Parts: sequence; structure tokens; C-alpha cells
Amino acid sequence: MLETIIILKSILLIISSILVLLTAIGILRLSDDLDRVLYARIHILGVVDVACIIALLVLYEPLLAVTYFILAPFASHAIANAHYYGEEKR
Amino acid sequence: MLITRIYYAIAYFVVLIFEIIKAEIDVAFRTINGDVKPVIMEIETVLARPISQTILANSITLTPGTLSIDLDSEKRILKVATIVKRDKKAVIPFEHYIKGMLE
Repeated sequence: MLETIIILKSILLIISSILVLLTAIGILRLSDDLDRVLYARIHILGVVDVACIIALLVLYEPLLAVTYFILAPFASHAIANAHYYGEEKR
Repeated sequence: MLITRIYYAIAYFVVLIFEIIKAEIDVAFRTINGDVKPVIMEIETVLARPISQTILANSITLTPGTLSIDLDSEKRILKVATIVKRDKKAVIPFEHYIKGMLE
């Protein structure tokens, strides 16, 4: 029973690390000439948020996971809002 | 009714988790393919209370592939950036549950 739990936890951690790697590759691959590239980058970074929540849950940090779950969208929203009314309107 | 609200809250949470997992897989494949064309659209919502509009905007941003930029509380309009062009109703599948939970 204990071994099964350890294997499951390892699989979840490997999945989240693969997601983090995919995000890093995706962000580096996007060229700067793409239209509205900042939004594309924020979308791809959203994958890391979920991977991070999975990792925190697996590592027995539920309170940190819940805090991250609630607070992570605020940062993305703030960046997108500032870009929309600052850079794009110019 | 309190019990109905609790039912809608649980249903909202389940739908949100399901949508997040679905969008996560979709966006992960799009990063491999390079099939990314961000668009900005305006979505009208039926929610009237600011708290439920905020929860809706927060859920939209939490789902990978969609991102809320601005919220006009009085006109009930959300500005949303999506990773590719998408149907308006497909962006907010949890609106019905938030309405049952808080309004």
C-alpha cells in the first residue's frame, strides 16, 4: 500500500516536471513578431501554475496550494491589464 | 435555499477542476505544435453581483488558454484574451453554476 502511494506521488511529480519543461520550451520557441505575443506567453505560463499546484499537493502542502490557486490569476490579470491599457493603446 | 447553493458550489468546483485539466492538456499540445494565435473578445455575462463577476473572471484566468483582461461591472462585459479563436459560451462554462451559487 505504502509503495503504491509512493509510486503515484512520483508519477504526479514527473508529470508536473514534464509540464514545466514543455512550458519552458514553448516560451523560448515563440517569436517576438507574433501578433499579441505577450498574451500567448501568459497563456503558456498558466500551464506552470497548474503543474505547481499539483506538485504542492503531492508534497503535503495543501494550504500553500490553495493560496497559490487563489492568488495566481491576480498576477496574470495585472500584467495583461497593464499591457492592454499601456503598451497596446499607444 | 442553502442546500441548493452548496450543491451548486460543489458542482462549480468539480466543473472548474475538469475544465482546468482539459485546458491544461490542450495548451500543452499547442505549445508543442506552435498553433498559437491570441485573440481578444468581449463576453457579456448574466451575473449582476460584483463578487460573482470577480469569481468568474478569476476562474477564466485560472483556466490555461483563457485570460481576463478587464471587467466592466455595470455593463456586465468581460474582456477576455484566448489562445485561439473560440466560441463565447465555451469560454465560460461555469457561469451557470456561479449564478446558482451566489445570485
